[in-house]
Amino acid sequence: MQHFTRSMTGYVTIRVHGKDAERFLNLCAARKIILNQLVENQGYYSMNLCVSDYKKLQPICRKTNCKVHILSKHGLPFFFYRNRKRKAFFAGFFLFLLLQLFLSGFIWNIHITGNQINSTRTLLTFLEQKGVYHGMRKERVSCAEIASEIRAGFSDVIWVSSKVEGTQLVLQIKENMEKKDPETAGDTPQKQPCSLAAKKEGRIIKMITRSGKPLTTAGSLCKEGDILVSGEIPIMNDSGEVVHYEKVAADADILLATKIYYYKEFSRKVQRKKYTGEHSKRYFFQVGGFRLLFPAGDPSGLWQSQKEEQHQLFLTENYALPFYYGSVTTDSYVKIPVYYEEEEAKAKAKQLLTLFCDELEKKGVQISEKNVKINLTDATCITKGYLSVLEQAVTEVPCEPTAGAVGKDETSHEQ
Amino acid sequence: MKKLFRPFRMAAVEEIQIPSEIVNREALLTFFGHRELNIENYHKVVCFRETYLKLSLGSGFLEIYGNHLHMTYFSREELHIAGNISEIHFEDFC
Repeated sequence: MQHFTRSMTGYVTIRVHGKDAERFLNLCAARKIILNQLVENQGYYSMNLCVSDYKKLQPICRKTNCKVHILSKHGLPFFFYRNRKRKAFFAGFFLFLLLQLFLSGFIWNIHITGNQINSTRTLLTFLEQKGVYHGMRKERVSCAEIASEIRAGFSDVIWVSSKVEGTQLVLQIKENMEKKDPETAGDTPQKQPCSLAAKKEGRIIKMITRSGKPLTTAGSLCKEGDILVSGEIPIMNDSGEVVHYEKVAADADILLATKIYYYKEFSRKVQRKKYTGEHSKRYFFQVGGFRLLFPAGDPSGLWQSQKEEQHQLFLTENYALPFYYGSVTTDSYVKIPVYYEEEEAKAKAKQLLTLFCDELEKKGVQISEKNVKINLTDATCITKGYLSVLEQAVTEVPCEPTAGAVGKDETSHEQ
Repeated sequence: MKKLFRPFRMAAVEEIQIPSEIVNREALLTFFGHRELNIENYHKVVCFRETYLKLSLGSGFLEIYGNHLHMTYFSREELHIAGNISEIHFEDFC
């Protein structure tokens, strides 16, 4: 850095000789002249010093009877002086300075920090809709306005700081990372009164009621649409007469034993890909919609699978340009007809059934029994049957009169 | 008079834990291996050759022996010496 500063201001390399050279050095130090690369060679001292300090040397030389010779001149002022006749160079240089001055009036990067919930791309798209984009003039940037718009646009953003640093717009964001739990949050809206009805036909295995009046018990059968827990709780007076009904949002864990029909059919004759080993990789450069491939031409082969890797060029951290580069890898293959033998077909059918069961288990369904058979014909493999499952097949329905409910239990208690 | 008060001053400096190079303007030497040496609070250059450098430190002299000695930085407050330093020698006035 020091060398760069010296080069910008210009410096000279001088040679000093005389009887009292050490005194010369001490006087330089006393007059705050900074010397660099001071070397002694056969009674001569060579050193570097800046141009302004060189002008202070005359009285020192007179005092010490030393003689000073300039060996070389370095730095930008001397470079300009040497090249003073090269007009095009100076024109280019000043054009460069003007261009830099002009370009420094724009925003070239939008730097966003602190965002975890909302991605940078989402925030940039939002800002673009609000008229804040890469390449806009700095005068048009209103930091306070940007901050308030982000806060208004994103409910989970609780604090925004916006500032312009050079040609960069820096946005610091703090998001509310605490997720609101609907059960514990105090400001959550009250649930609407409702009852719980069966989604499917089946037998009730387990029933734990938290809110509402249970209209059936564990072990009872129910049909689709039957009300299992009523959201209307009868309020009785001292005589045991119903005074009125209080409506609540029914809530219960109800496990129903139901059956799911499973049917899967696939052909035993399939076509498989067999890669021929012909592999080609081509590189491309894309400008907008125009793509240039290297090497040009299409790879041979009737059937091909392609894998493309594409990268976009960025001028700054987040300023994307419409330039892309990457590679396209092509593999040729042929299709070979394959016939599933009995064992293979059964194995595939079992695999498909296992996948189906896994999907059900992911949804919280417990499989208690599988009654599925695999039938093989010459052309197809059919897997069909029933799966006995335990699931929470209930749905919320608006409160209705309880007259139509099954398994009505007059003695059931309220919870 | 100055010498008379010197022990008291030294005692006071030690008591309040101020670095002595600040109070007494003593030279501060910093070595970077045997190739570089930074000297602060020197008084003046007495002799400078390619193999020998003699500095006045106010309270005495410092002699540096070596070869290819040169000063990469030279100012009123400090100087930076580079080269192959083989020996240094303190020569006290008293």
